[in-house]
Amino acid sequence: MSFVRLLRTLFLGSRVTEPAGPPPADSSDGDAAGAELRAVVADLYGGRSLRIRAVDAGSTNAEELELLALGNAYYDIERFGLSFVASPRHADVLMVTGPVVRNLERALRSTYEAAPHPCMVVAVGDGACTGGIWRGSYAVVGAVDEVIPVHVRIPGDPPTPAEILQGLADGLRRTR
Amino acid sequence: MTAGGLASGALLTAWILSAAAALIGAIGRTRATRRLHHAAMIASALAGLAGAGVFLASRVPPRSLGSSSLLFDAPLVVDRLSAFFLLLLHSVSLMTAWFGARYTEDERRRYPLRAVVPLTAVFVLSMQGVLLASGVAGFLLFWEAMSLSAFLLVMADREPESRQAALLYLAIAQFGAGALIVGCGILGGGSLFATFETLASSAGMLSPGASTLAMALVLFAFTSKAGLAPFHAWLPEAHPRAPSHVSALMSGVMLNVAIYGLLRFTATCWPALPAAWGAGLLALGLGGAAVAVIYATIAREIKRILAWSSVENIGVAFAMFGFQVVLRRGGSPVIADAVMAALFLHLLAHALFKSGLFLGAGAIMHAAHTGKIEMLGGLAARMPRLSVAALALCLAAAALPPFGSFVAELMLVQSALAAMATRSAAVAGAGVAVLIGVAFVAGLAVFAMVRLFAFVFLAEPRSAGARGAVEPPAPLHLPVLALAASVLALGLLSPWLSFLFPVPFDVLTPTVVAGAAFSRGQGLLVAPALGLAILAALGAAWLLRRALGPPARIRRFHTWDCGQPIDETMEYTATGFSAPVRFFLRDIVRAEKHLAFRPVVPSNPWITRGEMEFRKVGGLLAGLYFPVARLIENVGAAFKRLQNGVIQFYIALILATLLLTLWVAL
Repeated sequence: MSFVRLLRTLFLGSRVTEPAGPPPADSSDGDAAGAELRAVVADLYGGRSLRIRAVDAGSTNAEELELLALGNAYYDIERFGLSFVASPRHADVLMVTGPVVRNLERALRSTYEAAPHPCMVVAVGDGACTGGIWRGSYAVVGAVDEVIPVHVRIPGDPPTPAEILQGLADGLRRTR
Repeated sequence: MTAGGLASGALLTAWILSAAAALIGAIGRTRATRRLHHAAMIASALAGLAGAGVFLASRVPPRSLGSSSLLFDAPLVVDRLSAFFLLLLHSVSLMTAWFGARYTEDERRRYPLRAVVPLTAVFVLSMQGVLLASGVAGFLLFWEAMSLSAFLLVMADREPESRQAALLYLAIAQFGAGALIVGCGILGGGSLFATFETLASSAGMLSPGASTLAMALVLFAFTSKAGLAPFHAWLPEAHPRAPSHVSALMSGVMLNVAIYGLLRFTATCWPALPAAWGAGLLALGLGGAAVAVIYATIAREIKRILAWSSVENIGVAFAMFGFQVVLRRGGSPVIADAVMAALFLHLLAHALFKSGLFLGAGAIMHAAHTGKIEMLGGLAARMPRLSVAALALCLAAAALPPFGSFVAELMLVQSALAAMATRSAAVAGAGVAVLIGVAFVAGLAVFAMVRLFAFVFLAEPRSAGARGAVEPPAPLHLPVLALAASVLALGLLSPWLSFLFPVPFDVLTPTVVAGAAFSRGQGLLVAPALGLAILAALGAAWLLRRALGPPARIRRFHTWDCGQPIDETMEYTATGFSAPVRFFLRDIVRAEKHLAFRPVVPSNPWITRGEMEFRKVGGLLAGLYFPVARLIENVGAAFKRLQNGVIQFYIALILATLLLTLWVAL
């Protein structure tokens, strides 16, 4: 595109974004838990962030979608000092979803051992807490605590993002 | 008893014990006689080592060991040059005899001991004979004995590839021997029974054309035996096929004996070698070393890598020799002496580390049952002592401090820098060429040796053989440790070992050349100082670690593998590691790749079976050697037509020969 046309598109073209309106009135969804998390994390980690590693040990992806929603612009956990990391070596918290299927049992154990202690293990969702409707199946080991020690359980199928944040805040408060 | 008498007595004892060992090995059939043979070989090596050491330390004039009518009445004489190479020979043969005693017993099924054991003794005996011979006939006799015993030893495992490699080696060795006989005949004025003293005078009386021809023939003989490009093609084929202790002797000693021959003949007959020959040898040496180190980087068997590394080191040695010729003709005799001292140090270091590496390769192949580096790995955990020795030897082969090979290269580089500062254009140009060549060769040599060590010893084993390897028994790993220690000692003690060398380091009088000072060996103190600094740093780190102790709580678990179990199929392959070198130098390392995809079922083109062929194209063997061989074959076929079976034709031939002879004689 020519330089003149580029300038016209930049300054005289149609807008593709709209101005941000005022924040929604009842944005209490998760904000209270978030403020508590911010205080606890700042207290526990001296102003640094809490790093979360999400491990999908055979879930239906429902819990994964809720965890993904935690990172979007509405819940925005980064403002509370929480962020997701890729390597368990960088993790402070492991969020495990799904009943542990047999093929992933070794991987889950490796992930837990690779995470430096102290590492809090959070079982997210009914499948991770109790094995859910798959308990007793030949393809599934069961609840996460049959493979690795679990410190916090957040039941729900799936738990909403606000419930996840509240569960995390409660867990951190207990272990402080 | 004087020092000289002691030295000559010890060397004669070494000679006699070698001969006795050969006889015992040839006649004896039982294990006890073989043990006696090995004891005799070790005793011979110890005696020879003592004799050579005493001779070099005491600075006595050349001595005769005794003469015999069997050796054409020319006595066996030891002088400083012979004594240095005898020191080299006996130190290597001590370790190979110790190694070989156990190795041959363990590999009884692969090698016919009735042949290998006496032939090894004959090989060592003939090399001693070459070094001690004072006359041309004795030299040629022992030279041929050396070549032939090596040929038979390369074929020892009776496999077809070994036979091919041995025949290639024999062909080139016999070409060289033929050239040497003709050259000596020209030099001796028609007689092959001259001694080296009379050879000096008769060589001086030759016409320039005859002298040049003799020089070319003699140089061809020694360069082809030493493995200088382009006559080196036999080396990477023959050295890997011989039994490991014999490979160590061939690579460590026989190549050095060839260089001894070169030095002896040039010192005797052509003390004023023209600068053009020096420049030619320099170019061939550096070019050959460059190509050889590239092939060492891409080879995939341990012994082949080591053989190419030998070609590279011999190329560097010839480059040093050519460089010192250019320096001497160009009017810088002091720097030329420094390069000669570097040459001797390089040869001694090469003999020690190369034989150590070949013995180590033998121990590895014995334990892991394979020599392909892509089937090895993880041996450092399974064979800790051998790994430490091999690490030291690989570092020495890469010419890193504090080892002796580093000191030699440092001296060469210092000499090249000093040469660049002289006023003569030829000398400065030679210095620049040496610097560029040595930089390229040394850099790739580090790559090649790191690759060798990493793929054999580190990571996880890539085959069942490597997985089941255990530390080899003491006689198989202790000689390797001893050789590693000796290269290290050579490096650390080099300024004070000047008395061992035919060209003493203290010949370097104070010369200040553009800031580079060659004072009495002080230039050399850099190397051991650097080596000691490195060792001190490593030692301090170790002590500090021990003092501070390990961290308070360690929880051990396997490497984070993303949940997938890591196994040996995920490791780097040696071919992949050297792919950048293969790619960037693809005009030198020409390879072609053929990919073919064939459908498994004709009606379904989407499911195919793929085949890849990836091989080297061209090369010296195909480009130079085979055409020469075909030419000789065609000439022979043309002459075969003379054998037409008609008896009248043969009678006519006899008559014609008779008439020609009578005409020439009368």
